[in-house]
Amino acid sequence: MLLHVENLQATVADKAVLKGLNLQLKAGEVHAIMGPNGAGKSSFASVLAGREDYAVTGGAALLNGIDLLDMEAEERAQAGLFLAFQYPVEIPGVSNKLFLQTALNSIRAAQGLPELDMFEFSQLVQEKMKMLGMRQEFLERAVNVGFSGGEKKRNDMLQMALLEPKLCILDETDSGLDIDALKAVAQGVNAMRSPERSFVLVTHYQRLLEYVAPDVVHILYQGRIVKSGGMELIAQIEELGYDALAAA
Amino acid sequence: MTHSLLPNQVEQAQNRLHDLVDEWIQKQDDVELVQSHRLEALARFAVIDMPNARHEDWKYTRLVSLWKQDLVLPSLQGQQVPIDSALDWQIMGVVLSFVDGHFCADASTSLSALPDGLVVSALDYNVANHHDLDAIHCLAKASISAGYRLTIKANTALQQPIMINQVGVHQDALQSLQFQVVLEENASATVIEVQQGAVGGLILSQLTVSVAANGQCTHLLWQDVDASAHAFAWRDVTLARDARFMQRSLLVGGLVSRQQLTVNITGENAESNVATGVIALGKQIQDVRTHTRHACLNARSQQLHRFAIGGRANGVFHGDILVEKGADKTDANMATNNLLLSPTAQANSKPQLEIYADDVRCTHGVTSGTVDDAQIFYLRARGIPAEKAKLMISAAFVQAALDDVPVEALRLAWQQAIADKLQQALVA
Ligand SMILES: Nc1ncnc2c1ncn2[C@@H]1O[C@H](COP(=O)(O)OP(=O)(O)O)[C@@H](O)[C@H]1O
Ligand SMILES: [Mg+2]
Repeated sequence: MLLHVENLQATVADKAVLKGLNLQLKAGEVHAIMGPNGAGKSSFASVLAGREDYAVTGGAALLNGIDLLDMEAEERAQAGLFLAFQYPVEIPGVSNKLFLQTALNSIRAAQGLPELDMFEFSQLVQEKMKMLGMRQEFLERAVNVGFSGGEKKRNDMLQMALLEPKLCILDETDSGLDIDALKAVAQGVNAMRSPERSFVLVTHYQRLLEYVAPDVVHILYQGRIVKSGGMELIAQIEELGYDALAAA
Repeated sequence: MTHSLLPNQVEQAQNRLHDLVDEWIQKQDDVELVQSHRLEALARFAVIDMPNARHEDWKYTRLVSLWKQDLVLPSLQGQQVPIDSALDWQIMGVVLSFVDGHFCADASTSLSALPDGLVVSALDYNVANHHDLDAIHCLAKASISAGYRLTIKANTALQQPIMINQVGVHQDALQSLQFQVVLEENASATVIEVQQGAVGGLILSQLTVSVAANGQCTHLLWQDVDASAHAFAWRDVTLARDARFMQRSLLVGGLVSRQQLTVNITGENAESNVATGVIALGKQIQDVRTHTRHACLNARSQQLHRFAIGGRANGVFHGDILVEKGADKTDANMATNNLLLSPTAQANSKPQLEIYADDVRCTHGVTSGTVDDAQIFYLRARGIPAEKAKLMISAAFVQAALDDVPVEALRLAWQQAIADKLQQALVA
């Protein structure tokens, strides 16, 4: 099992947001998590990624059998976890190039690999940017500063492509995107799909799922996974809505 | 008591400094004018009140550590000096080097091989001073050991920068330098001032810059003296019609540093653009003071001061802008941003505006904050260790004030210096 989450409970600002969440995900699978606003989707992603605002009050989360909850945020990233943020942060003054190179080399160092020099890095990043249809000037700009919503999400996709994580969690990477940006994100995900790599797509629209077909669909409702199934679940959500579906 | 001195101990320090400089002056064989200038300043120093914390201007900038120092006025005596370190980052241009306050010909451009339009001559002691002198400034004037007047002739655009290199090698040296930079009409030049050294002491610098009509002066300042040194500087800039002044400073050195800048805008449509990056760590006091006077129509002044403050350090800023009657359509902005890297770091920023003209646009703002947790988390979530993340964000904060430094070698050296300095703070 690549990701094993059992009875996970967490609070933020003394409010319980995860209330016994269970999820199993095998290597190579794509899972979609859908749910209404405030259900705890971003909280789940944040707890896995190690955001310190959240306190884990019970349960377990293992990545490849290793206890995630015991690690620092950067160690989780180094172990192969990647979270594409619902709201990517702007970092004035830090160039995207420096950021990407530092991130890649930090992860390589943790894995015992030699650092890439500027030349090697440039070649690699050019290749990935080409794949995502991104312009060169992206590298020179400060991280996400003055980026449009779509550009920020694309930038997260570039990071994902470069860092080659084992588990990619995309938190509403599709929301607020026009159709071209959405296709670019989907194309990025599809290009990266492999038997070793898994994806969790958090969304509350089905748009993205038309381009990236998930193996399993989960409904997250009030801090728990209340239903899991295939694509047919999406149609049921459309028809009945989350409340009725969760009560059924 | 280690943290304060009794009043009579300050008096003793005053007497000691007076006698030290007095004895030194007697040994100099400079021309009458120079000697009388020194003696006059020394006579004022003898009777003036020493700076103390009861005085508003010195409230946060305590000089206890200075009064305790046993300073010396070393002579150069032709010994070989290790000045290479200051020149590691090789800047092409006219280099004037000073070691412990003395001109060092070996490490300088030959004064007989200067570019056309640049004249180096003796200081002109008849130049009036704009402001009241405090005790340290009197001391600086009394102990001047070297200095030059640099004139850039009308219509000359100096292509290569003039670099003034000030290095301390003698422990506890008192060094006092003065420069006068004169840009005649339509002249332009870049002056780089670098202060370095691996020993404690007292570094005093006076600079006047006068830019005639249509002239352009860029002043780049790197204050990187030893962490136990005391550094004080007074820089006075006067701008005539359509003159341009750009200053970029990186201030990182010293136990106590006070860098004072006065900009007098006396001509229409002149422009001053000043940005400072400051790093204060450990127990450092980094004090930046600016006085901007708009006396003419239609002029602009821009200021950005960025302080990254860690440890128990104090970042002190005082900036006043005076817009005189008749200086209508003045556009003056001053922004001060403090980044606090530790819970015990202090920022004391005091902006002031005084406006007597009409139709002016004047703004000032101070912000203080810590490194944003969301930014740190974003970097950590990409595998970058927390320390490194904080370093990247805080270096970028300081760097942002200095991104447009027009001399590339210096811009890159500063990038490295900022990162190295902050690294020390985060490891400590
Ligand atoms: N930092 C926070 N402080 C207080 N409440 C929070 C915080 N973050 C999230 N919440 C609350 O936790 C619940 C779950 O939020 P979230 O995980 O963002 O939901 P989703 O992503 O499914 O829309 C919501 O009720 C939200 O208001
Ligand atoms: Mg959310």
